[in-house]
Amino acid sequence: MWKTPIVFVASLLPILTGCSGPRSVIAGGVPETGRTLITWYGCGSCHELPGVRGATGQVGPPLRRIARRAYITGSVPNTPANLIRWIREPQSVDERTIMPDMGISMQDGRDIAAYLYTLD
Amino acid sequence: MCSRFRSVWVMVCGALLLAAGGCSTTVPGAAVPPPGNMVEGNLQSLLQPGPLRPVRLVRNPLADDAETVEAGKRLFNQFNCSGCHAAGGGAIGPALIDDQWIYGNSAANIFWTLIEGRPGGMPSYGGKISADQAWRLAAYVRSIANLPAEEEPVATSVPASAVDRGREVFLQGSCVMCHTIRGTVSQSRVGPDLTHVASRKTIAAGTLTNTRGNMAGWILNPQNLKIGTQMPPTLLESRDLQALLTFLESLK
Repeated sequence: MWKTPIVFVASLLPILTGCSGPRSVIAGGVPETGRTLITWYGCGSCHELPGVRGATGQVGPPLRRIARRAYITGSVPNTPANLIRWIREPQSVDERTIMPDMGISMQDGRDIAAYLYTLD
Repeated sequence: MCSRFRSVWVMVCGALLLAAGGCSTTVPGAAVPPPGNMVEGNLQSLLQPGPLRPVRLVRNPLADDAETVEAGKRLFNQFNCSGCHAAGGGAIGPALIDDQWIYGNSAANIFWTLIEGRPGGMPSYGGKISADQAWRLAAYVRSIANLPAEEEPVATSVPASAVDRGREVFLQGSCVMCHTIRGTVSQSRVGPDLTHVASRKTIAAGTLTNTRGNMAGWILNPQNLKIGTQMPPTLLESRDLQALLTFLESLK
């Protein structure tokens, strides 16, 4: 009697864990668009970015596996909101940072953050 | 007893199934922007079958000339755009040579239509073609539609103080040792003349598009971007870099 439900739940596990496939963790952010925008804004002039051609910059930190980092900018937790704020208005997080404010819109910030969160 | 447990199990399993069904994978281009982000005044037709995103990249960074158009034409054929648009006359997809533009006819509108795709069949080419290729395609599509060349966008107003501060950084720093900006004391001929640097499409001998981010990376560590360049790295403080970038952007 007990076996049936246990087997049933076990058979559901692959479906449930299927959620962890490649997906954006930024609401409303599209990673592929973010990749295009990263090229456009020139993030790769300062950062190494896997998957972005020519992104070999050696001014700021390499961004490989940024999705796994606990903190960004050396000061704030790596949350979607903090990452987007950092991308859009770096001086509002750390006024001494050399990262330039490039006038990035909210939507562009979401897309770029969505791409960065594919790097894990 | 046993049947009560069974009904509990059925309920638990049902709830899990619902939870699993709620899991969604992201489809590129399917994101719906919040309506607050809409920009007024875009060249959009009244037909709007899907949500529009504000046009962010407003200007084709490539020269709007015959060479760009010709390259766009080759790409148009290579990617079989005619498969749906029939050489621009329209078949499965809309005609490109009439004056009906569902998603706008500016180069930037067309650029984003290519990159993101559009509802009803236009696939997303984001990640499949480069930004340059998309701009070339946009230039070609505009050419077959006989659209007039786009005017340069009106420069957004930047506080004069920021430009002045940037000019100070330039003139008091090491930039003057190599560069000319006409009308200032900076008159060296070692490096390129920067009098109209903001009007250039590319920097670093054509290797980087002329955007604020690329300019920053180029100023801070040029050797890494172009091996063998004569330009030395310049170490600046945050505020000085911001001001310098703003000043350089003012040199149209």
